[in-house]
Amino acid sequence: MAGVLARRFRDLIIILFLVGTAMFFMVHLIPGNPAVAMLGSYATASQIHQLTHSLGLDQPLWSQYTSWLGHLVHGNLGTSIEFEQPALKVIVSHAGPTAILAAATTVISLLIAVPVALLSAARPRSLWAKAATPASVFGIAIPGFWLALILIIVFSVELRWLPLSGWTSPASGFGSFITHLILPVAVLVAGQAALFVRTLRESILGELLRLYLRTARAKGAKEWAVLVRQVLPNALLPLITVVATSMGTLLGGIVIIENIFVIPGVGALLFQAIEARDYPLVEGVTLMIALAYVLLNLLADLVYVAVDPRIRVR
Amino acid sequence: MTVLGAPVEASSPVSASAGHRVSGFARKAWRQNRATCIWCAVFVIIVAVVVIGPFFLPSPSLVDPAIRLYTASPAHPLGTDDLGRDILSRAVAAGRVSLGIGAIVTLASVLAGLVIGMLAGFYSRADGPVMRFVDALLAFPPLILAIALVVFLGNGAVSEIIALGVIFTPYLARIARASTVSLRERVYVTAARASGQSGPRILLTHILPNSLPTILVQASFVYASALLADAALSFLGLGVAAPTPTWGNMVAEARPYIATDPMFIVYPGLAIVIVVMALNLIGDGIRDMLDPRTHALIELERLRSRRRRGLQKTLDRVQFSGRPRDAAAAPEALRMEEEQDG
Repeated sequence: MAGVLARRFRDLIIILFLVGTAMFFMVHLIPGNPAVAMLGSYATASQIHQLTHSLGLDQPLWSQYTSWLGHLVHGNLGTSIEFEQPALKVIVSHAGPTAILAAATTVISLLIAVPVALLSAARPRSLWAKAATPASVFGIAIPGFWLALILIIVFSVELRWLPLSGWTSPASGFGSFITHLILPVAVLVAGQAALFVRTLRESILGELLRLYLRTARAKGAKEWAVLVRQVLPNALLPLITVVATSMGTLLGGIVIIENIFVIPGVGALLFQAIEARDYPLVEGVTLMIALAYVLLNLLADLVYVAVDPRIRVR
Repeated sequence: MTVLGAPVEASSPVSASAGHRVSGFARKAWRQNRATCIWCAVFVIIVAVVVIGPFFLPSPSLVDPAIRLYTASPAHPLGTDDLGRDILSRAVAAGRVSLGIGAIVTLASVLAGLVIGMLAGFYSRADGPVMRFVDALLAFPPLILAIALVVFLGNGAVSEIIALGVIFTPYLARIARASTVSLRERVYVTAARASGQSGPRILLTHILPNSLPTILVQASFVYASALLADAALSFLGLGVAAPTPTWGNMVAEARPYIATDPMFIVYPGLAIVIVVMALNLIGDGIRDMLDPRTHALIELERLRSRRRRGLQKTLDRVQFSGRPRDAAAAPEALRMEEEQDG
């Protein structure tokens, strides 16, 4: 157990180091002075010189890299040019909506996917199963941005049931918070639930061939009891990993959805930073999203080890 | 036939039997997996329309402000866009760009992934460092990495292809490595080694052909994902720039008109949905054909349902039902059931 933890933690450090280094060199090896790009075409030579100096861009690349790495170890992601604040502080202040979207989507997707997958795997030749497969492929095939716009046309423009876009924090009005949340979460759930149904169905099908089910049936267990008490717990194990790994796709989807629904989360911040050519902030946001993703996967591995005793034996 | 040197007469039965074999295969595929065949046809038709269509349609960049945002008419079956351009010919032209970029990305990442994965899987000295790097790339949420790459490389088709290639290569490399590692231990590889074949030769003649089916199935999923990623990037204005249509930037162009002209946005999105669905279902179908477990499960379920109905002598029945597939798969299903717990 401790060995697994140590190994995972070592991998995490290596991965973050590589990701950070890649980001650094991506920004610094592109031709042209980022200071020029940031200031735009109306900048004077002295402005460019000043910004180049304050960003440390006039130093050799190697010393820029070591000082950047040193700052990173201390949790300093640099200073956002647009917000004139530490990048980390700006990112943390935008993390709330993104976290809420991710959590709500994951929970609702699981609530939908588990029963659907169980029913369709238990009766592979039923009409239900035959409908579940194309429906899940459809859910995966729909581009989130397009579904979002279609839902806006139907529910906000035509029916006028839900707000077009925007965000209310739960503290300032719970009803309004929920109505603003429905469309973005619905779009994200469509893709996520479909993915969960597909993977869970696969792992349930794998479990259905196991001999312990025959034992359970021989003992006289009802078919639904076999499914819920024997098949489901084992089949849910791979889903832990899938929930964590699919978080990467989900975060990508959230970035787009936040831009469409004008939600002040990390994804909207990323685009704000891109449009303002605020490279330290772009770097910081991508790094922090990668960090969150890697940490979630580490957490999933720990949960897996805690839940499945077979892993500990190996 | 050529060995015997029999010229004209002998060659016609050969070609006939080859044709027969092809139609036999098609008939077998149709019987086993009807849905996959239909989706293959859908995909082929879309590709054909996209390739041939522009020769018969008005120019996608023909601006005519007098007819902007018109609804469907005989001259413009899907209506016109905000600049009076024909939406049908734009959607078809966009298909060329989107499907083309997707195909290049898929091809590039399959090739790169195969080389990286097979080398890492075959030469254990390269395995550690290479796969650490691959893991690092996989640790990035894919679309975010693509966005970051495109921002730093600058907009345009080439940087988009690079960005998407970087996303999908590690994924394919992992799969290629896994299949290489399992194939490396096969007896025929040991035999090839013992007979003095070189490493690269073993990789090309024994490992590549055997891992290719898995990779090709994954390639269809990668193509689907590449189309979605391309659509997202060009919707965000990070992909191919505006006058050249792609399905993604057509949705972005239609976005301001969702209140006044909602149908404008439907067509390009629908094109993405249909193509991505087709690719996913084709991949699923081929994988099911390659994976005996799916057959086994369907047969097992069939047996169980017969048992439940209280019919005795199920196995006899299956064996004499005149469908050899059932008879072959039923014992196979039971054998796999035993094996799973072994």
